[in-house]
Amino acid sequence: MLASMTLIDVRTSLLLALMRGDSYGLELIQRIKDDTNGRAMLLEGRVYPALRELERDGLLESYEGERLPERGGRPRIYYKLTAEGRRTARQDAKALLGLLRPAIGVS
Amino acid sequence: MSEKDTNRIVLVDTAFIRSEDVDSYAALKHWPSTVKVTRKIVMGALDETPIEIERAALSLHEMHHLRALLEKHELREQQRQQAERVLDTWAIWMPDRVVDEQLGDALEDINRRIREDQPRWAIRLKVAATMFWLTVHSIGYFLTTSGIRKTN
Repeated sequence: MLASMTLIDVRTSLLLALMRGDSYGLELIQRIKDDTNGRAMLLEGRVYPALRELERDGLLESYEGERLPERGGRPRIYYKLTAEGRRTARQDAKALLGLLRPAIGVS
Repeated sequence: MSEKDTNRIVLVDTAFIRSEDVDSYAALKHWPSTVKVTRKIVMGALDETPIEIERAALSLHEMHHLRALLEKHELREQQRQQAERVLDTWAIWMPDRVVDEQLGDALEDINRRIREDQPRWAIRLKVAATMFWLTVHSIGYFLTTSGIRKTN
């Protein structure tokens, strides 16, 4: 059976994953997969446009990492949360928690 | 085989046994710093007869192990170069931002798959998917940056 790919919205997943620290596209996809035990798998087709959109919206900032030979000498593009992005991520997390409480039996 | 070459083989083998990782072959080019070990030397030396292998103070099993490692490395290198060449050619017209980010990530992922010895068809599928998404996202990037497509 295919793992669910719509547990939560892609933008929210990325913001929440970035709360753990700066990261880049490939690592974020893996991080989200690991954190959800494979239940949420983001497709590369949706991740990169979402990251650029979040950056345009002022929720993320990007910066270049070092150029690596295994990337054909290209740099990794790292993302970090802005203050606004962190605020939005916290709000999303609280909203999700509100939804999850009844399901996990916490009042 | 000269004594100098014999020493090189012993050194190469020792390094492989220590590392137990064929990827460290790249590091062998610089190890030890006084001896320049090249793949040509190693492969050439491996074609010597078993008698000469004994002279190199290595067992036949060790030589087979070394040969297998080198062949595996060679195959991986070919696969990596082929994928990189195809994707580089495909991405020639694409914006730097998309290429640095997505093509870079894809190559990193392809390298990982090759190291994990995933089947060739899986690597090819990944290359084809990357070509597709690179094209879609490059067009999207051009449309957005030129103002034709509006964002929220």
